[in-house]
Amino acid sequence: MDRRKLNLCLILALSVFLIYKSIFFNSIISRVKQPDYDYHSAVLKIYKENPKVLFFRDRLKMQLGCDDPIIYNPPVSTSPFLYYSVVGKVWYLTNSLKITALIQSVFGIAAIFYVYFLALIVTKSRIVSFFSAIIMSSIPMFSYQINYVSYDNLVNLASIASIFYLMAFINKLKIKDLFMLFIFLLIGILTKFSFGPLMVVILTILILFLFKNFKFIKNDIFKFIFNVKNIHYILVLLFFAGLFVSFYGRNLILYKSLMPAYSYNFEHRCDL
Amino acid sequence: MIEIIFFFQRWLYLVEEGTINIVSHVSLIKDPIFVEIFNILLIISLLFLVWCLVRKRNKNILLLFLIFLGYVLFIFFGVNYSTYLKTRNELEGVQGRYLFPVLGPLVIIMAYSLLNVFKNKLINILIFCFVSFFFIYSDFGYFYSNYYKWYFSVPGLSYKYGNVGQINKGQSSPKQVFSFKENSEKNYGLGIYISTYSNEIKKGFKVNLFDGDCNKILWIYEPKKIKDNFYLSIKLPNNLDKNNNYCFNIENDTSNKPITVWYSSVDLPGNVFEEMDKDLIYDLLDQETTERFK
Repeated sequence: MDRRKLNLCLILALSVFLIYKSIFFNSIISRVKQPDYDYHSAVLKIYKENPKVLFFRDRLKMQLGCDDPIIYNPPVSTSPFLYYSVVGKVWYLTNSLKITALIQSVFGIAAIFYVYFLALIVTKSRIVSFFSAIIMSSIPMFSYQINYVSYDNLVNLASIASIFYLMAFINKLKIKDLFMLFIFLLIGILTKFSFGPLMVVILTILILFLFKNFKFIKNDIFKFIFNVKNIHYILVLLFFAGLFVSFYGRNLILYKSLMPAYSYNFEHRCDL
Repeated sequence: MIEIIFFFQRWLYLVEEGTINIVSHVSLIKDPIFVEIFNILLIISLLFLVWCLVRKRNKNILLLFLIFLGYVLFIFFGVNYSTYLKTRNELEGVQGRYLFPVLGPLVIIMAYSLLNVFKNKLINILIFCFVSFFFIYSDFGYFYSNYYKWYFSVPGLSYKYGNVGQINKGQSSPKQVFSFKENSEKNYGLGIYISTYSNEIKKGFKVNLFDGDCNKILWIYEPKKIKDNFYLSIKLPNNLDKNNNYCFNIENDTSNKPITVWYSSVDLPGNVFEEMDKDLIYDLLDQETTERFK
């Protein structure tokens, strides 16, 4: 068996193992709660019940009663929404929290495969890459968490994908990777605010790199933008950039903060 | 400075604990041997990383390390340490999973380092096999062989809460009334979390099951062995009436080795994990599941 086939078999075996783990976690121990389960599932439910809402522009449309047992801290309407909005729609379409939890394991498994490809770019060694994927998929808290509803799964995927596209761009100077990097940075920051520090670290490295190499790639950037074949990259980036500006811009203008502080009366309506 | 060092040690411990175990509202904490092996692998990796960086000057690995370090420093100083200075609570906001955004780079550095310690291909294959086996076993293997203990800690019985104390030879824990979960159609058992201060205890303890008034002994269970940090799973008799209250205690009949008892209500968020350092957590399991894994 040649190396390529062997590698394919190993990846396939790892995939089967991950899928098995995912089904096992979801079916047999579904009663065990992952951290902040009540909060995550309650916010998901709000988005499930409002499938046309991308994010709540008006906090009063939240319809949270005074007697709602969940403490919505951070507040739903002013906190990063992307995970809840996307997975809430999956829940709405499937009408099953179990299937929703199972589907979102895709985020975790994709993160593991990004680790594999990142290792391949960094080390140029398939054995190190596969070794990295095995270790990553066997970190207990990580492999447990990817099976349950939590925005951490999407933010972990966005993180590792961002690092992958940063390294890919630095190594290969492909503009497509730069666009993908920005898309995943926006996905991360629209999913969880604590993605911010990683975004700052990545952007700092990117700016330093561009400062040194911009003259070599500026023509490629323009070529990429004006090539019709790349329109989907540009549209997706514009979509997420629009969400970023409208969401965080709204927070800044209305509440004078990127992440407004919680108070009980912020979203709960006692006249409901 | 001393305060930072103190906090850093505690922080490192908590982050590691929350990464290589399952730490949640109900946690599954592994035997210390797994942590020790993991620490050895991590130290070898980090030491070799320095050597690799000096010798081979792999810029990509250096960049990954910078990303990892930048994020960790930001979380440590910008979030965790500043919160600690305000609250003086080292647990506040410290979770292993908060570092998962940069777990990938750490894992790659580890894999790269471990497979570059020796130049011999055969040794590298052995390292690959050993470390892969260790990680897979310490994750899913360990979980698969222990999860029923963890699974059982989901509330199904209700019971009171209280600190009981050490049970020496000839002593018993206070009798504890419990009832079955309302409207339950299942038969239940009892899962008891035990710490012994010693190695395995093979005899001398028994669990007494009483009627609801805690007077009449209905059933006695003598565990074949009690280990330290151990879930003792006890299948209750099938003929118990689900509508009645029952009562139990643990009696140290003849053992010179004491255990300490802690009654706990596991349906409080985080309680099982927080009380792991205490000694005994009365827990629960349902019989249907027990039978499945016997």
